[in-house]
Amino acid sequence: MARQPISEYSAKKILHEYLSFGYEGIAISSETPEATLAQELENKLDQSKKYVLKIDQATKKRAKMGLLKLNISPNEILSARSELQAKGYDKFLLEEFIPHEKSAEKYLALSLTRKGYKFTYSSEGGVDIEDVGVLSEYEENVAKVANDLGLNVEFLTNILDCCYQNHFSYLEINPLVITEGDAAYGTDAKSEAGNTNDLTENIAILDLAVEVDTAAVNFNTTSWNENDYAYPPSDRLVQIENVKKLDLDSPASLKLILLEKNNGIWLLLSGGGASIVVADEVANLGHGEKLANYGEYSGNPSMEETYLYTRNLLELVLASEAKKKVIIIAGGVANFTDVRVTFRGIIKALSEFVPEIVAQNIEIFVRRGGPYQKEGLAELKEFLKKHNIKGEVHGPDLELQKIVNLAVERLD
Amino acid sequence: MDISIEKIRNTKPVLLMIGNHKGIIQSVLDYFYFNGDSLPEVYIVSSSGNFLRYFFGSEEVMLKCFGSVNLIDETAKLKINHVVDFSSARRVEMSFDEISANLPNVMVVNIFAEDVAEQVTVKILNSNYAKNRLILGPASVGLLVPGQIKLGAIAGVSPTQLADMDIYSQGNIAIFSASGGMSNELINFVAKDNSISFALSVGGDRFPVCDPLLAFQLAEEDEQTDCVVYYGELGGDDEYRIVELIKQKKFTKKLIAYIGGSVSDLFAAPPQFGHAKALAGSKLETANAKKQALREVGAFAPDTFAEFLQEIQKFAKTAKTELNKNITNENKAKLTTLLSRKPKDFISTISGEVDGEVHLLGKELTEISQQYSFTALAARMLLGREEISPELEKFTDVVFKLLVDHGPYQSGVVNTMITARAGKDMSSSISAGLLTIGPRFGGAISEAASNWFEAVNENIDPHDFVEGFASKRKYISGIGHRKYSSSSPDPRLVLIRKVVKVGKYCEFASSVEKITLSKKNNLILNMDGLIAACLLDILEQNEKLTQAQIRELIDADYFNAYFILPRTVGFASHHLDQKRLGEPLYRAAN
Repeated sequence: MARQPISEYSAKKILHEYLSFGYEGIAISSETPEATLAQELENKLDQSKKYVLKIDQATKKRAKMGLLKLNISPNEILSARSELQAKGYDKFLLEEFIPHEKSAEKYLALSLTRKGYKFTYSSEGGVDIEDVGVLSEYEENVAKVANDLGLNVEFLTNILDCCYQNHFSYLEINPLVITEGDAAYGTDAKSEAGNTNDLTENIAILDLAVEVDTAAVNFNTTSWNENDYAYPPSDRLVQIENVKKLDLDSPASLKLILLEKNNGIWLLLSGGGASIVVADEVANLGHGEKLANYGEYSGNPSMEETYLYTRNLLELVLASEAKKKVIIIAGGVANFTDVRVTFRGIIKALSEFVPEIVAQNIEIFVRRGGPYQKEGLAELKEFLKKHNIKGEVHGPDLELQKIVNLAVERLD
Repeated sequence: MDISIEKIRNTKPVLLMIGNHKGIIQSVLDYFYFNGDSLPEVYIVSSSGNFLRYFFGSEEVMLKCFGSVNLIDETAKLKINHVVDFSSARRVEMSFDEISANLPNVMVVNIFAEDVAEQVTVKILNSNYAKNRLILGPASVGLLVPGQIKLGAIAGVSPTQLADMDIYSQGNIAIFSASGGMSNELINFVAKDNSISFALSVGGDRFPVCDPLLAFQLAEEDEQTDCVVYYGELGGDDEYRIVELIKQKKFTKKLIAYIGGSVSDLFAAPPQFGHAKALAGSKLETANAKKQALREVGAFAPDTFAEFLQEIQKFAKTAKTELNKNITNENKAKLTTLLSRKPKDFISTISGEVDGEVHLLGKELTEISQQYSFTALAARMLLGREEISPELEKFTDVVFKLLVDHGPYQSGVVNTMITARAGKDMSSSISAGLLTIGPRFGGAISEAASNWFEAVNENIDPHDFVEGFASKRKYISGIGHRKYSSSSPDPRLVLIRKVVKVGKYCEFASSVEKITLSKKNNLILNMDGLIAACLLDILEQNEKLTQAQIRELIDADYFNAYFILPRTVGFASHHLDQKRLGEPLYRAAN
């Protein structure tokens, strides 16, 4: 696994809590019925205040894509939600709208590098950050960053500590609003708690994006878990969700990304590297626009895991409306993944859909090597032959990328 | 830079495997076998016993196993120069700390775990220990130096894979890859018509501990290497740093590179591919931008994988020599034996059969039996080796004689006699007697040894030791006797004391006795307690056993054998005696 965005709601809760700031954002899902939501909003919101409703699905450049509803009254929230929902989104975050000057917007990001955390920052933040020159410093120069941004060092050190403790690999605040004098954010929290933390008085974390290191899930220092992960809406097909869950629960790696569900070239690949080579070859041969997915399994998954992975993929293949479909089952020469075991999982899944595969005239192209390749390849070849499924089975004698040539020829 | 491939080629490998990963460890041994080497020293850290069984060729071998890196013998700690760490992702940090603290002469570490937290890897790669060493991983399949070592899963784990390709003769192409699978794919490809100088996988994590630049420096310095075949992926900036290296003329050899991930451009949002690092966060991180940058400094970095493979083939300067072909043919013959090997049911280091002759402690039984008396042989067999000190031999002889019998009213003998009188056979009578041996009769030597051993090595004060038992209202094994007391001492103890030089265990036992005697005059140090203390002193002073070896003997009940064996003679004689006297069936009086 790797870096994974968590929802802005979760990220803000964790960071605000760490900084002893108050946080009153509300996570809203598309599933809450209008009446329930209306009731909840009436109870929680100050009718005289203005609010902002944003998509909370790890989406970048929300402002530019019109995925933020700014400065809306409580009675406009329901319609704003419907509007965003119509664009295919289903997770939202509602916060109080903080009016501020453009000049008060700063940019601050921290990312973990080989040399520790690196600050990337600019005193001109906001939606046009990509056009602005940013500065960067490693964590030992935190004082310089604070000085450049006009911030208290303690505030930045706290954010750094929060990243360490929570295994945030990446944290980006844009904009970080710093106002002088006037309270911009969190004053209520301050007066309630009676603390005199000067920081809360003139700092507001408006938009926050955090990527966690999934390897640290369930560490006892971290305040998040799998439920806090945020996914873009395209990933929400049930089969994709199933594979995601399978991946989370397994020591092996099982990945599946959908490119276009009605395309004809389907990949069932093994190995992080070889899978990229095969997918590249599809694009290199000029068939990129027919590619349906990318995915790979590796790290010696069990037969059961390979079976479930294949079954979810096959459901997607069969549902595709492409006229001609091929499945490329390929991988390099494995070091320790047992080809016989993983192929038995694949065969078990294929055997559940034989009539459909034959009826749709789907062809299967195989290239694989590794421990027990002879047995694995022979069993799969035998299976395809027995059920009159078209295709070819090859070992490492066929160059890895050539299996793609054989498969795409059948598309023309 | 301390580490070099040449140094690895010239250093006899001594390996440590942290974790018992059967398939991979066996494949590492198989590699040595195919390579024509003898079995190298291989140690394992695992909680599953003192030894683990593996094969070397078709012979089963026992690899020494330790509970943790700290517990490895000091001499072995200094010798170990290659480590594969199979610890789980969560234990990698702790394990690395143990390696750093204990193994000063390691050249290469392969960290196998996937899913290691980024912060942990950053800590490891910035540690002092990581400098001047080749630390491959996390998520690495390891290092292959043909003709020398296969460290890790690299190049495959099944004997068939290892026999099928020539990964034994030294060539001139180095193979680097973040991806374990692609390392092997390329090893397979190169080994077809060329030979490899070395191959390594740094691992697909975002921050491989081994900076890919280090790999290029190793290749530059290695005289064998003429060319690097490199598989990289989108994401990160490694390739730009390689470009810098080439610009600065710090890498001057031929580079044939494929950068995977141009397919990423097809996706609306850059997808996360299989490896943690494989995500193009910016334009520079795309595969195409990297290829372009490499081409600009003269590297061969084609668009397609097919062109990449063709270029590798072109580089094959010479066709495989006959010699290389012989290697693969020989290995195919060796493979047949490997495929039919089966583990034995039992392994014994005491005795065996060689060509129909019984061997005992490594010698023919007929030979060794003429060298030693029965007791002298028994003392050797109990310790599992022929070499023992005269002190142990003498002690064993005295103890065996003194413990052979202690009168007909001891519970064991009573049981033996009752059984004999019930008309049973010799083995039943002896068994009945043996079954009474335990904490109250004869069988307290092991427990007493355990107590003395722990107390002395943990520096427990004798008063605290006695108080500890008293407060729990427990007997102290080895202290107290029903018949003997300070006023009527056990005469046997005097004879034993005569043959043993008092050491720290005997001293401790005596201090304990002083305290217990002040409470009650029959709380003397008894036979069990004294034998335990004497044996401990002999094992440590004369046999030079380590603490761990002594602990093993205590846990295996070695000490009680010093009662059980001689007393069996007593039981046998009492059985015969009852039969000779023709005693009738015994019935207890009301």
